[in-house]
Amino acid sequence: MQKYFNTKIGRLRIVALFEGISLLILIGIAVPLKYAFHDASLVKTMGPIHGLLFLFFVLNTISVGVEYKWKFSETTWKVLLACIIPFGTFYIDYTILSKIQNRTNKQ
Amino acid sequence: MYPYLIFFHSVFRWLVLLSLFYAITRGIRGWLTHQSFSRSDNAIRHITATIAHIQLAVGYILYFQSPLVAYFRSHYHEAVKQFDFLFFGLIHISMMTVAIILITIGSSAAKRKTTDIAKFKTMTVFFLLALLIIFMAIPWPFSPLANRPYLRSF
Repeated sequence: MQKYFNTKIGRLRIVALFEGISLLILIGIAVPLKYAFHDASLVKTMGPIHGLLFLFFVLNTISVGVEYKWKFSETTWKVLLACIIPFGTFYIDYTILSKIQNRTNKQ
Repeated sequence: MYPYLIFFHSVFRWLVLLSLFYAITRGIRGWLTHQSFSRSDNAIRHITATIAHIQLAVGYILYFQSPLVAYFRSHYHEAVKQFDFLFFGLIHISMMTVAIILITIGSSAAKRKTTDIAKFKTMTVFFLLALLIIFMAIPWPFSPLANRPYLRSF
């Protein structure tokens, strides 16, 4: 667990996980509840939570991208795009972030 | 919740401005007098960025709760012609977002730089730009764009 909290990329991966989960809850459960069953309560609670996680993820991505010298045209835009696509953050975590973390751990 | 948040957002601006101003003065001093980028300089860089992020997050929560913004979004075509609605519905949030992104980039880029002078220089330039944008986008009582008091009460 330690390796996730000690580095910026590790913390970004944690935020990515929660951002992805909150997006899935929001569009997979809360929004159908609102429109099919006219119960907006879950949207009202999940909306701000997802919003904050989203904001935190975007700011962290920019910050990590600058710090780890990612090229915007190669990496940063993909990570930023992933956070608005369902399962996107899980995908870039698997394909991009985990590899970068493993690489920096070995150095 | 809304009145407390708007009070907090109003008071917290002073902390944002003070921390930015302090970081910039330390940045300029370190840059011009060739000091070493100390641990406390680094802490100030980080804390300043964090304060700005908190303010942005509170601002976003307010944006989606504000009755003014709700009117702006539901009656866009009429509201966009009234400058007060346009300011809080669009201008304030976009300028502040740009400013916070500048702070984020500046903070990370400064951390990344290898020489102390480059660290001070990067931090100063980005933070100064952000401060300028933030200063323009705050609804000061003297602002030509929109006016709110220096300190809000409940």
